Amino acid sequence: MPAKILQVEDLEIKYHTKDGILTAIRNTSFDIHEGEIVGVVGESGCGKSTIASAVMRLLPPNGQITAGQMLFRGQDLVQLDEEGLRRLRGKDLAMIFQDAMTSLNPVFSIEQQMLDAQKAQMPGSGRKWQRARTERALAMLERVGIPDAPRQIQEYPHQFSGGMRQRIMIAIALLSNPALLVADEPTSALDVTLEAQILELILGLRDELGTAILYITHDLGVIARICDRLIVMYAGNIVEAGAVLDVFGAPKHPYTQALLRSHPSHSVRADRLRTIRGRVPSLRDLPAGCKFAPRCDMARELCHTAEPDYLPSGDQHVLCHAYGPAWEAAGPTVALPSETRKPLAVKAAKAALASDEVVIKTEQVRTHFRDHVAFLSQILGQRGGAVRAVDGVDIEICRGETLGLVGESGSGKTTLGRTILRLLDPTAGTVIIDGQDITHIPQTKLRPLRARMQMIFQDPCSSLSPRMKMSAILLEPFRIHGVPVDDPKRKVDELLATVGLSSEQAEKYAHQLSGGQARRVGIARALALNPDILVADEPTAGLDVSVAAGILNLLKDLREELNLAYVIITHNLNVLGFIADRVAVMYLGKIVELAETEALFTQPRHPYTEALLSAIPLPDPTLRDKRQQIILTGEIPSARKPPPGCPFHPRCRYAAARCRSDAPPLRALNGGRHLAACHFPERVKAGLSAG
Amino acid sequence: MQYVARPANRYQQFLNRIPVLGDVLRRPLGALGFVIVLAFIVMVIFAPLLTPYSYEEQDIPSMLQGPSQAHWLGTDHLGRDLWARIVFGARIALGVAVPAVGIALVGGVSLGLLAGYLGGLVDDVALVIFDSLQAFPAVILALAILALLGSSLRNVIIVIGLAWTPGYARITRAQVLSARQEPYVEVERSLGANQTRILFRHILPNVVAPLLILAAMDLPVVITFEAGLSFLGLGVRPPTPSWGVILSDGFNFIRHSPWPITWAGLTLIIVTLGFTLFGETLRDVLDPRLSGSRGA
Amino acid sequence: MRTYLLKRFVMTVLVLLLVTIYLTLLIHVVPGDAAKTLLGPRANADLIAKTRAAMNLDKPVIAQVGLALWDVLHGSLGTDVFSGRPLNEIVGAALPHTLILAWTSLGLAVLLGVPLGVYSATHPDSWLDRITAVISISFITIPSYVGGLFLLLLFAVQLKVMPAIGLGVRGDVPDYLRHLILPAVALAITWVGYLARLVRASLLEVLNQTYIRAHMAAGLSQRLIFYKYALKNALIPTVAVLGIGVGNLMAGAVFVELIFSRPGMGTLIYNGIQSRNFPVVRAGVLVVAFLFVTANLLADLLYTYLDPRIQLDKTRG
Repeated sequence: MPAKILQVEDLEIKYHTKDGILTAIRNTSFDIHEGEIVGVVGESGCGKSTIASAVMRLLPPNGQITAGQMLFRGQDLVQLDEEGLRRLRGKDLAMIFQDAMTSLNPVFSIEQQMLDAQKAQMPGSGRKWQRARTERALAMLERVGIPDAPRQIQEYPHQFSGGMRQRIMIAIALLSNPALLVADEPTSALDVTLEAQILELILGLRDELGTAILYITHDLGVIARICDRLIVMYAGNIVEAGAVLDVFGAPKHPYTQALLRSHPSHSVRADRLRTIRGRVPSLRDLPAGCKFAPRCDMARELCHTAEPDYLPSGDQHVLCHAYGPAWEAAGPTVALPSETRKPLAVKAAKAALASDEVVIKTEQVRTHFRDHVAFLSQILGQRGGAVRAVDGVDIEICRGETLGLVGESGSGKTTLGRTILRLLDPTAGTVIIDGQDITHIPQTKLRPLRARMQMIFQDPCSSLSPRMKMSAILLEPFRIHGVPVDDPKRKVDELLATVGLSSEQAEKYAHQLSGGQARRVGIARALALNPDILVADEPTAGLDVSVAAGILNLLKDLREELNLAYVIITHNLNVLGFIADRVAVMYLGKIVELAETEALFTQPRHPYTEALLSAIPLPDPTLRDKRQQIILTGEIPSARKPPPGCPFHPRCRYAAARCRSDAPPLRALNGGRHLAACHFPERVKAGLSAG
Repeated sequence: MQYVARPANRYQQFLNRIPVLGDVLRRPLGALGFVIVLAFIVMVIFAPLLTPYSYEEQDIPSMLQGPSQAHWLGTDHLGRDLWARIVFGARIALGVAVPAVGIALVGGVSLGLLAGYLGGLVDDVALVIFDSLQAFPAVILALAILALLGSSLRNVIIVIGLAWTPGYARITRAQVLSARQEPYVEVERSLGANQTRILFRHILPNVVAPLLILAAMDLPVVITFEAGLSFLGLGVRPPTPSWGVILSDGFNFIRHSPWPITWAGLTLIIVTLGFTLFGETLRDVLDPRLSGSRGA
Repeated sequence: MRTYLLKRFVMTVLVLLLVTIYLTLLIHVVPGDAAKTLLGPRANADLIAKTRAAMNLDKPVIAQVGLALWDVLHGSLGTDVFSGRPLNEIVGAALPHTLILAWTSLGLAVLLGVPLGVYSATHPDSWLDRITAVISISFITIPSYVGGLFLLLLFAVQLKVMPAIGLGVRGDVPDYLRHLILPAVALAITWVGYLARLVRASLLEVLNQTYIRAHMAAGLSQRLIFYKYALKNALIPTVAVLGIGVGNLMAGAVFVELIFSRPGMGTLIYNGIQSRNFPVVRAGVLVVAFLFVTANLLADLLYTYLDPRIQLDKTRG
């Protein structure tokens, strides 16, 4: 085994806050070997990022390492002074951050930032050194895949797309060929195909340069794909650590087990997802004993009173009494209160599910956004272009059916969702709801209809009015439509119970809720008037996996109870695999494939779907070598100037001459319900075998 | 390192029970500001009780005196008691500032709502007009108008109100534009709410709150503005005791007595400082996002 | 970028034309005859009629506005009805003194305010930072006329170390500068405090950004991060404010010029108002507005130069 490059021993980190001094990291020990990728996984608030900052000694000013040591090649990072750290950071240690927009300085060119970043390593000031630095910077940019580097290096960060910025960030970090790279969620803000590109890049660079990487992420799928070993964190402790294959193969800690089980995928579509009760405790009121005990089904009395020790168990290390010596005498299992949700008073018989009654129908719908050009600019001859967000879409959704809309940022999926509800006016085409053409009816006639079609918005907190209590927010639909409510308080409690919230939440304001709770209130509001149509925009975006699992279960239950026409918009195919009946894949404003979920997952007929499926991070490291990796090149083009012919051809590995000139129509294959817009659907082979 | 909770004393406990003001008073500078503002308000309300003299009672023989037992702050060139004039001057200061800011607030918010809400050509034109109205310093605009209208208390209030209106209109417009983008406003539309309901129930409250804080912070600015106009002889007319008038009288006799200028100047500085400290702390407490920005 | 510049330029011209229109219309909003007000109650009808003609008041309102715009577009400010001298000449004599005063103050404010703000931000919550905070807030609240009066009282009247009034002996540069000190300081006080607070706030905000952490992670020295990478970001909002600052300094100049009996735009406008000489007031206000708008334009251009992101954003809005 290669030498240890970093040894962290008994690390303890505290934050000074106005609530007092909080311990963020406790008794934490781990090693990183040379050239190894170690993943750190856990939900928000578990201390992953604190570990990342601590290793770089970049904790915020109120954070302090209060115990332990971090030996980097035998040198204790905890004891180093600012000057010593600086020398180390420029050379041997480097870091990349989650959001490349905010981690690149906006008012300096890439060149300026790259040249200065080499000063620590190549401090010479002569012309020769200058040239050496420039050459190194250019070489690095080319290595990370920035085209036309000599020109692009003059540009400023905002002139690059998100994926390109992340590449530049990596280029800057690796300029000095560091021994250890700390990566703090570097792909979390990116689309799956870009994420796949960046992960590929990181793996390639590791193999080439032998850089050891400490990789922080909340995504078990990413860990399974690139890491050698993994550390699971919970509430400031490492609860489990070991080789990726061992931990995924036989997770020992109940938290690891629960995390793995709450991952949605199409192989569990028949079931409900396993959620974890409650949520990660705040550092302010950590439970006594095992920090996970209040959420753990197997917790015994001992777990609630004594902290477990971090002990080896087989090939892993686990922080759990169940693998310790005292388990036999740990007392009886403590029953935890069950979290139940009150099912809705069902308004239609369940048998009526999936009738043939078409509720939503669009015909060649187009929604283009014209640029706003101020009056004065118009006089001066400025003409705006248009973004063709939705560009000719036909869909039909029946009562009781769930259609998933999937695509990357800029694919037009959200615009389509809004157009269906006439929150946006289509530029052309027709939208028919329940047989009524609503494309051009005036807003006054539309308003009564709105009671029957609801949307769950993407950003849970900001879609709740900041100056209203939840009770007022939930009664708003009734007030708007003049529906009398006999007992407002009871109605609010009822709605809260429907989405699994307690009635205490009624008195709270948006900023007092967690992301998951806010999302549930948004769902409750959408359900208030018993709609027939529900459009959910990214219902799980930004939520931790265990919380997202709860929301997905809720959405699935509601679908069965309410018998409504459901549109679920997401960038995450896993979600649709779990919940959708049919899936429509969008690319640059067009539907490129539309099929039953199972068919789409196992036998995609469009190269883009194939690439999306291959890019899904699955929490199974054994698939790493078995799965065919299709890494799309380039990025989704601008919807201002879509490419001629098939919009996907510039990134397609099957593209032929015909694809560059003829746009393929969306047509039925094998005469069935499987539609794809591709000239060569038979070439697409790779599906996703049920993992 | 152990965290030891500081024993909360009676005062701290008392502060905990008051929602916003408690947080302001917890900060030393905020507390100082509050005390000054409170003293100023006491001056305004109880002016006649605070001094045995009238602000216009002349006593030529004892003119331009320094501080003494009889006249705490001394007398001016007509032998009037300076303390009495400063105390009653507080009434003028607040009496001009509050209605003037009120006019600007009502006018600015309505215009801004209209421009921001209607958008399009109306918005473009409104912007050009707001810009051109702000194209010269407010003092000069006010001077020009007052020179023509003639100076009186009422005219001063109107002119200040007009001078401040475009600024508020611009801010309101910007707030409306950003509030319209907020997801919760789109939610209202999706629920089927009509435009009026959205504008008045959802946009207006979110627009007005920051503007009220801004208006509170503008009070001291308007007070110095009025005093400045009066100093130039175009605001409040003598013998009404505006602080600016006291300064102006003192300026004419600067070689004979330093006291009128000293006291009136210090009063202006202290009152402005009090309002500013209180206002800034209040803003930080109410809305941390706003800190760092300041209305022109 | 070119569209943006063109747009800003057209906007500036438009604003100035509008200001001219307002100023011309203002006479008609006021009750009574402007010529009569100008000449006083005892003027004879013949003189009033002549003056009315000289001020174009005998023509229809539209024509008056048209003539005023025509003059402005030709760079003419009109004629002083009293003396018959062209206003360009009168304004031309006053303007340099005001410009020197305003720019000296602005320079003082930047030279003192920015380092003060940088110091506070680099030593947050130190006792010097707290003292700076109190001093700068107090400075902000000192109006220029109070500052001017206090300085005059202390240095010229009581201590007698500084000249009190006027510009000094003609042609004697050191004497001119000596006469400039008190007025410039009086005018700068507020802005020293304001800039210190602004620079401190924006610098602290910048230092909290992820890219500063990224610079540290790349091993850049504290000095480089501070004085190159952080300061440029922090100065951008300051530059935007300086444009407004020039305007406020012009306004403050009215007071300071009167207190220190300096000739300049403030004195010119003030005397015009006192003598009800409306053409002088109009010319003065127009020139001040012009300087204000130009200063804003310059600040905007500097802003665009400093912040590469602006070019894209603004053409969209």
